[in-house]
Amino acid sequence: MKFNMNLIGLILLLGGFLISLFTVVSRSFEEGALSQNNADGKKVIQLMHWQLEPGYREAMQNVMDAYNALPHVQEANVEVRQLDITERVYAQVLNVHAVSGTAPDLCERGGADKGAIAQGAGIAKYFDSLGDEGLLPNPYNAPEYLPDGLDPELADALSNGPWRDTLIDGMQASYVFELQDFYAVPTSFVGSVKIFYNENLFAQAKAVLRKAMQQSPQPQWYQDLIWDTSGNQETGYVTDSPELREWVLSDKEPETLGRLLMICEALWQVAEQTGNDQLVPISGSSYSDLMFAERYSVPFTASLAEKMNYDLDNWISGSESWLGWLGKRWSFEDPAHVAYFDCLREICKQFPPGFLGLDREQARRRFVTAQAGMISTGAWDAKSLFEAAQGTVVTEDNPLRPGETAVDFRGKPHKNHRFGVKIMDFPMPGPNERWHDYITYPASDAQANGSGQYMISQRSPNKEWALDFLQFLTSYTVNVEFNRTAEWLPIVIGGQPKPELSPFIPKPEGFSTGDRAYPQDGQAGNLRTRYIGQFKNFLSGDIDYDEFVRLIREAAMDDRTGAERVLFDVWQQQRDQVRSVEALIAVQSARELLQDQPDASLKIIQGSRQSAMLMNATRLRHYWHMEFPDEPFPEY
Amino acid sequence: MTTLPSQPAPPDSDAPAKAAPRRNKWLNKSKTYVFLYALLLPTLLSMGVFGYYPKVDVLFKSVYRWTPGSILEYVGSKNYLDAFADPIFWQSFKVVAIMLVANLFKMWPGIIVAIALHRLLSDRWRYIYQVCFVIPMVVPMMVWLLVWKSFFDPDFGILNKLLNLTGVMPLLGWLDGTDASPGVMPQIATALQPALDNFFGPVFGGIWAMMLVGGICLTLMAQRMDHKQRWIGYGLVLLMAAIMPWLAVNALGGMAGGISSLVIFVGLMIAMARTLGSGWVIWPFLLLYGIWACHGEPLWRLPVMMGVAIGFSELVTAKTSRLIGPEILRWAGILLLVVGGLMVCFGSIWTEPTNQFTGGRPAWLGNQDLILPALILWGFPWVGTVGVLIYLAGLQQISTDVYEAAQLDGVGPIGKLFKIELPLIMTQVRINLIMMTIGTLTGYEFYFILLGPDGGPGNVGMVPGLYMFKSAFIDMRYGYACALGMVLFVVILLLTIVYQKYVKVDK
Repeated sequence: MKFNMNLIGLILLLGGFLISLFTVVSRSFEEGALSQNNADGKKVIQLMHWQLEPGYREAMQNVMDAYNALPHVQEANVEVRQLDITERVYAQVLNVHAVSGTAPDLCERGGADKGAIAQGAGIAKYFDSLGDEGLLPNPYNAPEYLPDGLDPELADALSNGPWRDTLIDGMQASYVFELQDFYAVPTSFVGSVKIFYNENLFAQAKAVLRKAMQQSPQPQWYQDLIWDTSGNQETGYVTDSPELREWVLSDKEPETLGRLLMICEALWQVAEQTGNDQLVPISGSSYSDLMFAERYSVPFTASLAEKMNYDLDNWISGSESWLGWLGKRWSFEDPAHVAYFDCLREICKQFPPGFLGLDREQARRRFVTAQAGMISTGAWDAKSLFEAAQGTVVTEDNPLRPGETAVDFRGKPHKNHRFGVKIMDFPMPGPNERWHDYITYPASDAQANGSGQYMISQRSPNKEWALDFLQFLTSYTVNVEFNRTAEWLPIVIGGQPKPELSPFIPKPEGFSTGDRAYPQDGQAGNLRTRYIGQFKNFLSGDIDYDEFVRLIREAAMDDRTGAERVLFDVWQQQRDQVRSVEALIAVQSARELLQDQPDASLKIIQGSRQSAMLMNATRLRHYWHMEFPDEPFPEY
Repeated sequence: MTTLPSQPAPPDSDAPAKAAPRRNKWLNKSKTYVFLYALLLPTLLSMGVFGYYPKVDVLFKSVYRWTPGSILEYVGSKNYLDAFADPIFWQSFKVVAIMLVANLFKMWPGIIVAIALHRLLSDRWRYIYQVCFVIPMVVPMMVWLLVWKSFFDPDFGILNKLLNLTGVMPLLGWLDGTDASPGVMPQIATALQPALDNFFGPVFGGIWAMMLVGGICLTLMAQRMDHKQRWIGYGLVLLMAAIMPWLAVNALGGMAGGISSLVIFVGLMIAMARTLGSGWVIWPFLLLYGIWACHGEPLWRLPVMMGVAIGFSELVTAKTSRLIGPEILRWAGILLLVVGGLMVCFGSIWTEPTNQFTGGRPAWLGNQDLILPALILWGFPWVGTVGVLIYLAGLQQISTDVYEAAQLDGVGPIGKLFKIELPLIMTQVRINLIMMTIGTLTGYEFYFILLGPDGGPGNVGMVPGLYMFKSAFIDMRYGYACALGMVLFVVILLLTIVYQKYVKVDK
């Protein structure tokens, strides 16, 4: 039979196709595209995160270098590498790689906006639970790894206590309610967001305030700061009193919101007097506007939260907020709610024009170039803000280069110094100040959980080494050093942050962070999108409060996408939760019966309790019938 | 040598082939086919697995409540019903329609630049310019976006500095004004309001309905139908014009009516195309536009307006010659569209001051009134590299004979543009048009980076692609996102059909 030469082409084509297919499939199923074992047998552990702050990456690299240099790690030919992804696309990268089975060995876990796939019961499909590992001691906290002179009691707790208990939050951040297990390990602590301020600009503002206060007559702008309720609209923020005058004459930072707004107005005056039309009091942006909204929501609306707390827990969900609104337990016309929005609008007036179009980087740039008196952000930005504004301490490792000069700042020579930065909490309206009558207590930090949580991918070929690295990262010595370099707060018990970060140490006083009206909760889906859109319009001053309320009411009353739909969607989610909990109870029962696993009975009890809490997914329906006894629960 | 089936057999092999048994011939032929299909197999498999399967899966998943890894629950048409009733989704189509129209205008600079390059006499200079146009392609899209975002910064951005430096900002301030002292544009809008309320409203049912009449005149001018079957078509159109709005609003409720209207719309388009020729494909679109344009008007408005337009066109065609009739229709259509366009531009858009320009620092991406203008301005002067290269490839296909003939006929540079170059690169224009349409309708990265997942203040920058992305990856409503994707697919398909029909080289 004569050989057909064209067959060569076909064979080559089919061969190439099969090889490609085999490579893709084998990589997907055995290694994953991002998690790989090199051809030379090296086991590469990839760690993916979105922390692009220079301090964090540097600190993480130091830890990785130290880990890679450990004798037993080198002997096993293991290497840990980091993979940093832009925050904005992180969720998409994580979701796509998790679903396609190519997720890196270790992936950072955040809220739903950082990858909804890592929330709820779905997490179990792509990531491993810690199981009993959290109950065992962390081997890297063994006495030989701990520094000398450590408090013996602390050393004992670290060396012999369960790994979970060596972390400040007890790993609560990574506990998945639906699965009754821990799915990630937190490595840092960031506390709540704070206000970073420019010391020099604050001093200038104070000087302007002093001068204005001592003038006779006082300039109009200063008089306008005095709270006045005589007209149709309230104006000003503070009451003229001896205490206020004393504060103006002192160098103290503003301890009340009214005084902070006085500083803001003084900064506008500084801008006018110096002809600097780019200087603004607060470097607001689309990144930080909601931070103010969050921090002030509890003190203003905690009184409303009591009325809508159907399940009597410490978190008002979107469904509770909207059910309460439908049931007229609260309204947008409640004075506390009106005052809350009024306060937010006054704060946003201190932001740069068009702040909604500015992002985090633009806001930071404005602050570090001394074109803003303040910026609101968390501990994760501390290092970059400190370094960019205050410069760096001149040391042997960081010597002065030709052309550079050193400035003495806080007793140490600094190069590239621009101004001093300090951190303060969000001040509350003080007594005799506008809005004070509506204030309850500030939001507590007691519920703050660890951050920088890392999950282990189910498809990782080197799970044991991934876990080992997390134990190394959360060991006392390493974690303290890691967070000091990153200028975050250590998560490990007994670990102390740098002194300048002490304002981020959690303050437990106050109300739960969930004690507030929260119509924009993620539960609210479509309605949330519309709420946020109009909320931002309100903050920017494009619409007034009445218009905002009209638009939100219209959206909430929409038959198919309004408040009732939120309730239906949440009910569906609860039903899903109950189903997954019941499936879990069945699995644990089998483990108890067939394998006699010691932890199974406890998990059955936990599961049953959770199922009972959700009242077999009838809880929300029950609340609905409490409000509307004669109306059927919304169905779609 | 393998003989391809379409090739004639060599004359000398004809006689033995005839003698061979028929079975062997069939087997040989089959072997050839099998061999050819085997060669195609890897490509077909790859296309099937990576190209078509995900799309078919989207269709399948669109009828499920789906969260990967945890939930897969059949919900039937619920996702579609939700999509049709979703105000954000429909709002997003309005935004994308504006962007689509803007992008139609933004195609022109690319065409003009390509023609300018084509007309360069020096090959060397043409090459240098081509290289200059290709260089920006190496700049990643993300960098491009961030650079433009910094341009829009109210305080530090180049745009505001440029506008202030050139004196355009005071001009914009003069046009816009403030709430206390409205500028020229809001004043014009206020002045036109009585005409809109008291003339265009009662007579036409609004500006958009008037433009529908203009569109029908132009359509009938272009189609030049004189066969008797057209009366069937007119009848169908008017019947549907009476039924569809009624179905959408009254008979079956908003959602079911909307879906019924869509089904009727697609059916009507297919039926008309099959029975009355493909030129009728435009009518369902006119009908759809009419439903939107007459939204809120009495139900009789749409059939009456369409009937008047058809009647007027038939009357003109019957009473005038074949030369004059189309010209009357053309100018009547253009007049109505131009007047309508002007009324929209001056009477319906800039109706209130944005209060942004008088301070000299408009917040382009931070104010809901300026977001769309900023998005339209993005990329100025809108000379896309790929587009220019595609047009240039088309222009280079034009024979020099055509230019020489035009030269002899005394055609000037402008005449060459409209009579030679533009008509002969319509294939390339169509390609770019389709690519632009698909890109505009499905794109989301641009809006996501500039405005965030909620589409900025008031959700004014929410486009269907972004909404789909948000539904899937942020709200975890994957099934719903699949349904949105299917609706988007249908819209793109319909627009592509229109382009295929109307944008082509006139042979």
